[in-house]
Amino acid sequence: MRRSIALTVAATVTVASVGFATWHSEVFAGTQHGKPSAPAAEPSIADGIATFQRPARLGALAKACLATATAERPGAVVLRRGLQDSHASAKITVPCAVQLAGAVTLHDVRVSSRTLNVTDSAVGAGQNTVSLSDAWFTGSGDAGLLIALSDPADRVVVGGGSLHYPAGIAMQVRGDRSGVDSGGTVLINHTTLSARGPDSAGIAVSASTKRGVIAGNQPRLDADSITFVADKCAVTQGRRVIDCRASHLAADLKSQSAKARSAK
Amino acid sequence: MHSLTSTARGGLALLAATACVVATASPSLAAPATPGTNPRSAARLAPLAADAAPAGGGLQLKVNERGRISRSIAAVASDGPEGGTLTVHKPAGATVRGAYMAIASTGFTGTPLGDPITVDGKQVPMSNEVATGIGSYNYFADVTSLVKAKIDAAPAGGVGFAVAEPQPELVDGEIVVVIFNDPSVPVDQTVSLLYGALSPTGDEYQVSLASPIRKADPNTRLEMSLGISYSFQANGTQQYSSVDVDGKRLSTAAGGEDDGASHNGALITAGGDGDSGADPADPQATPAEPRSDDELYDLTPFVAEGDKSIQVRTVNPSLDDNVLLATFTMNPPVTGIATGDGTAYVGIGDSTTTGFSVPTCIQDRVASAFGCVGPPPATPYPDRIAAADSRFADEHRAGIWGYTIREAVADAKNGQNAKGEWTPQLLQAEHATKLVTVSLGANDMQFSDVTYWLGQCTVKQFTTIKSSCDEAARKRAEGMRANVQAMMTRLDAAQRNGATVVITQYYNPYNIRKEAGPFNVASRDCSLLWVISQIITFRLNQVLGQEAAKHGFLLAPLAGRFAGHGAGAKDSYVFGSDCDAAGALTAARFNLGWPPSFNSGELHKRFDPHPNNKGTQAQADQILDQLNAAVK
Repeated sequence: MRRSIALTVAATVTVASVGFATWHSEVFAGTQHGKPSAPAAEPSIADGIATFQRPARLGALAKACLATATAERPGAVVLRRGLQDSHASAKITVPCAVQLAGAVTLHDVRVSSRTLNVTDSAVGAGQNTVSLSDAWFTGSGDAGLLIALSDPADRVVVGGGSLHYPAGIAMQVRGDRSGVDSGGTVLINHTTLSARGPDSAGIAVSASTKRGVIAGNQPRLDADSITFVADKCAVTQGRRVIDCRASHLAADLKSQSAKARSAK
Repeated sequence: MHSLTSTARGGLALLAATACVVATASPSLAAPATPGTNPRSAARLAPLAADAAPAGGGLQLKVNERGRISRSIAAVASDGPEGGTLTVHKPAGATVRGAYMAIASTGFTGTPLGDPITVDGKQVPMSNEVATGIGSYNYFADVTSLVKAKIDAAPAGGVGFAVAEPQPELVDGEIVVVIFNDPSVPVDQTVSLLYGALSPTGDEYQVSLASPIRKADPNTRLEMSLGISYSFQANGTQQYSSVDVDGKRLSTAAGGEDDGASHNGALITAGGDGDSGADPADPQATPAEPRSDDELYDLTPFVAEGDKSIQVRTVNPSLDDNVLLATFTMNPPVTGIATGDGTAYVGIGDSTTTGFSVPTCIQDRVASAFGCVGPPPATPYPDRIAAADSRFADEHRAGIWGYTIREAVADAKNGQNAKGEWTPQLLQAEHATKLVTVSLGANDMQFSDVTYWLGQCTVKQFTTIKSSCDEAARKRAEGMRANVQAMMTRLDAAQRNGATVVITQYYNPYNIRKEAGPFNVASRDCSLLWVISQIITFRLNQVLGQEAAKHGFLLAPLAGRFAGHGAGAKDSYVFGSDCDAAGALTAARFNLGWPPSFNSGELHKRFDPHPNNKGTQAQADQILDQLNAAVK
C-alpha cells in the first residue's frame, strides 16, 4: 500500500511540474503584450464591491481591497478573469475577501496581507486553478489565509515559496458546489506552510473524500495542528510517505478508540 | 357572543399564607349553577383536604427577556367560533421581540383541548399542557411567528387580532403578552413570564434583582400582572385569590371575569393594557365586583429601599380559580426567579439544554438567561421532563449556551455570573428538592470545535512530538477533572435536600455514514469524524462517570439513544446534516463571511451537534428511564 501511494505522489507531482511550466508561459504571454484600446476603468466599484472584468494584477487587487473595506466589513473584490502577476510585490493592508472566476497565477511574488480569503463560491463556476510558484505570502499577526474552490475539476497548485499566516492556513477544494462533494486537487511542492500564532487554527488542507486528491512533496509544515485529508492523499517528507487518506486516518483512530475502551 | 377586549385587569390573588383562610361559604356559592365553581360539588370553599383537586404544580419561569423592552398584555374570551378581538398595544417605533399566549380551558370540564386556538386563522401550537387543580388544562405557546409581521408593519396603537376558539364552551380564554424592542424605554428592564397552574396551597416567588431598588429613580419599575381564569366575581361573588409582597397584603380580590363574560367558558382576566396599575385601596377587601382589582400591581410600596429581592406569595383559598400566568416588568432587571421554598427540579447545563441550534441562537448572555435571545426551535429536554412527570413540574431551567463547568464553578464561587446578572446555575441547583439534571462538560472539551479536533487528531502523522488523538482527549478530560469535582461537591447540597442528581453523558452527534440521495446512492463514509467524536466523548464521559460514582449520582448515558441518529443520518436527532470530515474543515475561523453564500455560519449549521426535537425527546426519555429504573 505504501508503495502505491508513493507512486501516486510522484506521478501527481510530475503533473504539477508540467502544470507550472505551462502556467509560466501563459502568464508571460498574457502580461507583456498589447494594450487594449480604450479600456474601461478597472475595477468598477459598486455597492462596496470592486469588480475586475479583465485579469487583475496584484497591485490593483491591493488597492481594490483597500477601497472597498470599511470598519465593519472586509474588502470585497470580484475577479471575473482571474489574477495574474509575476516578479511583483504587494501589500494588502485590510482583510480582504476575493471572489474568483478564472485562474490565479502568481510567480515570484511577495505579498504581505491581513486575512485573505480567495473563493469561487459566488461567481466562479467551472474549472478554476490557483497556482502559486515561488510566491511568498506573509500574514500580519492576526491574519489567516483561506483558499476555497468549489468545483470537482478545481486545483490549487503551490510550488516553492512560503505561506506564513499566524491565524491559520486553509486550502479546501472539495467540488461541493452542487451540495454533493466530489473531486478537487491540491498539489504542494517544496513549499513552507507556517501557521504558528496565538490561538492558531493550524494548517488544514482538504479535498473531497470522494475522488479528491492531495499530494505533498517535501512541504515544510509548521503548526500545532495539521490536517490533510482527501480520498487519495499522500505527503512525502524526507523519505517518509504520510498516508492522509480519510479511510486510513479513520482506521488509525478507530484502533486508538478501541484500545482506550478496552483499557478502561 | 364576542369576547370582550382585552384589558388586562389582572388579578392574581396572591394570598398570604396566613390568609389561606378564606372567605366564608355562602349558600349561593354552593349552588352548582354558579359560574366558576365545581358543578359536581357543593364544597367549593372547603379547606384544602385530601379530596381536594391535586396541586397544579405551580408557576415556572418560561420567558425572561432583558433590554430596552416594553410589554403589552391583553386577554380575550369568545363565545362563538368566529372568535373575539384581542387588541395589542404597540408603542411608537417598537418591534416585536417575542409574543406568548397562555390558554385556559374551562374549569372542571376535565377535557384537554383537541382543536387548536387560532389567531387570524393561524393555528396556535397547543404546547406546554399543564393539568390544573380545578379539572382543567392550561397551555402556553410562543406565538411570535403568528403576530410579529402584522404588529411590526402596523402604526403605533391598537393592533387587533381575531382569536377563535373551536370549542368555546371548553375554553375560558386566552392571555397574550407581547414583548417589544422599544426605543422609548430609556434603560434596560426585564419582562419575565411565569406560567403553569397555581398550587391550591399557594406559591411563593423569590424575585432576584440586578441591583438594589432605588424608589426615587424615575426608571424604577416594579410591576406585576396576574392572569386568572375560572374566577367569577359578579355581584360580589367571593371567588378570589390573595397576594402578599414581602409579607404585606397587596390584594384580597384578585380574579374575576374582567376581560371575558360572566359565565363559564368566558371567565378570564389579566392585568395589562387599559388597567391602572394602582393597587387596591383596601388590600384586605374581598371583591365587590369583577373590577374590584384589575390584576395589575405596582410592588413599589411594598418593598424596602435598597432591597435586591422581592418575595411574592399567592394563594387561591377557594381552590377553584386558576392562576396560570404572572408577568413581571421590572427595573432593576430581574436576574432570576425562584419559585417555592426550593424548586423541585433544576436543569443545569450548556447549549444542549437550551433547545437552540447554531443558526437560531443569537448569543447574548446579558439579555437572556439561556445565553440566546429569541425562541428556541426545539423544546429543551428539561421542559419535556417537567411536562412528562408531575413530580418535576416545578421546574427551573438554567442551561446556558456555551457554558462550561469551569464557568459554572467560578460563577457559583463568585455568587454571580461573569456575563449577565442571572443567578449562577449551580446556586440554583443547590436548592432543588426533587431533581437536578446536569449536562455540562462538552464545552470544556472544546467538543464543538471540529476543526480543532481534526487538527489534534491528525497532526501526529506529521510529527513525533505530538500526542495521539486519544491521548489529547484524555489530557483535556483530566484537565477538567478538578472542576468536575468542585461542581459535584456543590451538587451534594441538592442531594441532601432529597433531590436526585442526574449526570447526563454526552452522545456522539455525528453519524458513521452520511446517508444521501435516493437509496443512499450519494452516501459517504463518515467514520473519520465519527471516531474522533467517539474518542472525545469517551474520555469526557469517563471523567463524568467516575466522579459521579463517588457522589452516588445517577448517570444517564445518551450514546445509545443517538446511535444511528447523528448528523448525516436521514433520521437525525441533531440539527446538523453533515458528518464528512473534509467538509468540517471548511469552517475556517478566518472566513471573512463574504459573500454571504460563503459564510462559515452555513458550515456550522451543517455540522450543528445540538439536539432537535427528536433529540431532546431522546434526552428526556433516557433520563426518565434512568429515574424510573433507579426507583425500581
